[in-house]
Amino acid sequence: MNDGIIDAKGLVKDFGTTKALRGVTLTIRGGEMVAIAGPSGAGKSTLLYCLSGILQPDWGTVTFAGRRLETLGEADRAALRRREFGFVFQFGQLVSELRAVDNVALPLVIDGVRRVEATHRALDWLERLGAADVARETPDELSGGEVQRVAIARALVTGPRVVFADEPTGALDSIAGDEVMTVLTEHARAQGITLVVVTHEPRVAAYMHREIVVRDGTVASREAVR
Amino acid sequence: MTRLAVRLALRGGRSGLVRVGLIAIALAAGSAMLIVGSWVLTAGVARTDRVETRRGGPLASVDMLLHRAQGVPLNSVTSGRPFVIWSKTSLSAPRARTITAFGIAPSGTDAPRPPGVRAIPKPGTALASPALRALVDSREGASLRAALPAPIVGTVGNELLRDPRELVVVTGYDIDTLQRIDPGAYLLESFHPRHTINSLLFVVPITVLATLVLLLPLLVFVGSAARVGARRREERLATMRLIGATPGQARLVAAVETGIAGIIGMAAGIALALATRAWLVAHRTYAPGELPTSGTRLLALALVVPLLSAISAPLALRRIGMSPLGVDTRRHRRSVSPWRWWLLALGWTLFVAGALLATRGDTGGWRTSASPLLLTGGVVGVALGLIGAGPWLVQQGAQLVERRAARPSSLLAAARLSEDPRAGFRPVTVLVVTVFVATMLLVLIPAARRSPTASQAWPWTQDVTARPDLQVTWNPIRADAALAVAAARDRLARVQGVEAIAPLHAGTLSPRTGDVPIPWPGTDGHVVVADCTTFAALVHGSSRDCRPGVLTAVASGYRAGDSLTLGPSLSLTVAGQLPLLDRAGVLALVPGSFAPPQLRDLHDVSTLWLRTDGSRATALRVQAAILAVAPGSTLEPGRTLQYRSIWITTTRWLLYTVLLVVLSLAACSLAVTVVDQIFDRRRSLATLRAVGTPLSLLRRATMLEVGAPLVAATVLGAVNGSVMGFVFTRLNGNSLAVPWLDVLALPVFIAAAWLAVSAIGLAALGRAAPPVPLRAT
Repeated sequence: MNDGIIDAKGLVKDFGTTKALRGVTLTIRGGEMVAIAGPSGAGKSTLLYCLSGILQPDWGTVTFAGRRLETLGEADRAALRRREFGFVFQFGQLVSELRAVDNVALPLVIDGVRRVEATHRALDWLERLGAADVARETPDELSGGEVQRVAIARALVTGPRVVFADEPTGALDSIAGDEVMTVLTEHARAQGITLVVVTHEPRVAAYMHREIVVRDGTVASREAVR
Repeated sequence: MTRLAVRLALRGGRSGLVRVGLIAIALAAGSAMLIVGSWVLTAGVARTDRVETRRGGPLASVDMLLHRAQGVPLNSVTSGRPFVIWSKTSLSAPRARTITAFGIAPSGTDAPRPPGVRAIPKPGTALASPALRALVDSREGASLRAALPAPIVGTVGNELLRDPRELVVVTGYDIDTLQRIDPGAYLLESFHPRHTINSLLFVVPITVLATLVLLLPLLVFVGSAARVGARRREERLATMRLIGATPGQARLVAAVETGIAGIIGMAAGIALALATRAWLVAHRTYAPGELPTSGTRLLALALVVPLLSAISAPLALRRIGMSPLGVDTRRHRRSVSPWRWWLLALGWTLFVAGALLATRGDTGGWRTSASPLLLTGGVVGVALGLIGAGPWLVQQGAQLVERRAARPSSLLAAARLSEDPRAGFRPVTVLVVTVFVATMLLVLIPAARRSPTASQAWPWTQDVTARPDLQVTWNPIRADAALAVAAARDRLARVQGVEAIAPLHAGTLSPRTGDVPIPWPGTDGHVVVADCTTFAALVHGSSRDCRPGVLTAVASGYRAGDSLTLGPSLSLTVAGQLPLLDRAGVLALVPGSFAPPQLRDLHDVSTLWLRTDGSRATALRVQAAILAVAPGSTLEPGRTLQYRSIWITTTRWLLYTVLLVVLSLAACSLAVTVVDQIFDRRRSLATLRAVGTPLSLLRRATMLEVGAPLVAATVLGAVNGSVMGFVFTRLNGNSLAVPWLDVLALPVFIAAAWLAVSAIGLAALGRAAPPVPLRAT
């Protein structure tokens, strides 16, 4: 029996002559926190993008909660990412023209929530994450740690079932990185959210239940649940 | 270092080549337009001067005619110097063309020669323009040979022709014969070159406005092209700084790149201009001498264009802070100051001052010179002021929308515009100026034409359209034309369905008065003698005084009440103006029933205009009647004769040509800018896609981002242009019919075309937005 919220089977992805994934198979259970680790160029980010429906694998299948992602059209995959997934990227990747609160509210507004309601919920999440005082600032005025807190708020505000984080501490110093990981994992745990984090830092991987090591496009090892 | 810069420029990758190519294309188009534009302007002024010159000197033909009528010997009215008797009439040619027929009778071998005539033709011989010779030699014009006054023995040079296509014949006569054939012939002691166009009042303002309107879109396009792939180039420059290059050396690299584009663009521009010249000459639109390929103009361009383009690059880099640690684009985050309206206010002040002075146009002196300069300065000031004020308006609007936006697309667009309103308005800079100038002209031209009172102020802007249902033309004019016409009139008057007949005594006329100057070149032309009631029915827009001894209308330059001497014992009072300035020049309308016989006798009836019930049966009956009484004549159905003002026609043609060129350049500029902005923000867009933003939403946001400044620019330009047009006409004391359709249609058309181009640019969004750019840092 398979109780995974995400099942990937035989994922293959090429970029020209570069083979990024060479048949990756893995299962991630609901509420689990998983680190995808490995050296640079191993295929970690590509794996994360395939698991989250950002990229389509050339071969293999990804199933989320029983739905085969490759059978969905672009619009459905976009809706899935908007409603079921949250994302945190290395540099936060906030929309530079929008204030922090508007960045957090944006996924809700896109999903049809009224602006006032979306802003209210965004402020609530910023407060929970200790970033309420920067709500009116634009991303250029924030520190790296603050940017990531806002990005985490943006990822959590829609109530996702899975949060994907791609090197969320890659641009931060160790103190800020620890703060971000603490916030991220605490809230994921509290909300019962599945967390998938790509990292090459053992210190970050240590926050997770499990570590999947990717090397040369394949899964090299699976650490046991901590 | 320069060699390295050249190597980097030529091997700057695909975006570098695209950038150099786009800049070169823009500069080539601009250079070619400037060269051809200056050629056309110079040629236009020279043509006007040539037409004036061949009209002869200031000696009054009327004096000569009066002396002749009173039996005074010709020598007594001359100063004893050699002279010629010079006449100008017209002949019909196939396809409704007109042959300008000059007659010349010299006093002796030392008589003055008209320009373009090497030797005055002997009596009974004629010289013809190249176009007329070609026509006569063709099958189409073979029958014309017999209709010409004399056999052609030579060719007239371009110096006498208005343009290479003009049909001109110069026939030699002895003095007595010419005076008998054309009582309107006059005496000339010289053909002095005449300069009729005031450079200060006409050429300078036109050149300034044309240069502004043409150069602005070019500069914006060059600016847009220079930003293509800017990020990559900036990274390269930062790398150079990292390995020890000075900021000056880094700027040199950028300058060399645009300098190379400038050299390529200049060379292509000159080649394009020369190709255009060859085409114009081959199609005999211009004579080769009218478009001189002298070195000065081309050399100046060859130096200035690459130099300017090379300088533009370091200027563009002002906003880029290059340090060994990387590149920092100095983004404008300060709010746009409302003080940006000052230039607009200054422009309006200058314009109103100039318009106020123009209302006292007859005062002369400094006011006459200052008024057009102030008006030009005002128009330029307002145009530049709009460019300055636009970003402020965009910022205010964007901030308002950002606070209240309910839709994510509005929120994204408004936030982007609010953050950098200058960048948001930059792509529509050209649009605001184009709409402003075009709307102003569109208000001025049709409004002036429609206004009954405007004809007094701007007579050269009037059109008159005659719409006879049928037209009978005597061709060639018969010796017994008068009898034939009388017979035809009687017969046609009895034809069922014919409602009115207007015999037109049409021919050339050279009116002179002692103290009323002729203000516009080419005032020789038709005199039309027609029954007043009939003519009023045929000629739309003519409601003139119809009394005995009154000239119903004459060309501009005369005022009601002026006494105009038209021939021996023939002096008429002007009742009103009919300002027509087509190729015929003067159109004097005289009520036929009241016209003195001397005037009618000056010219034969060449045409009968008929107003009928419009039925085919009537046309057939008319045709049968004409065949019976005047078999040599032709019957043409319902041809509309439009006497269109040269000013109107030329201005409209120029306006729409310039608009087309400007909007094409501006559209390219906008497309390049939109695509470049999308690629510049591809990671941000990719993030939005990754978090589940639909592509359609991003398209809407981008369209709004382009469209909002576009609407602002269109409204701003249209309002200022309309108000400026209205103010100008109001200050001139005219009440105008508002051409709402024209005024509203132009901005809407421009905006629609603009949005279409933006949509083309948005096609790039699909390529820039996929999540793949997320992997790039």
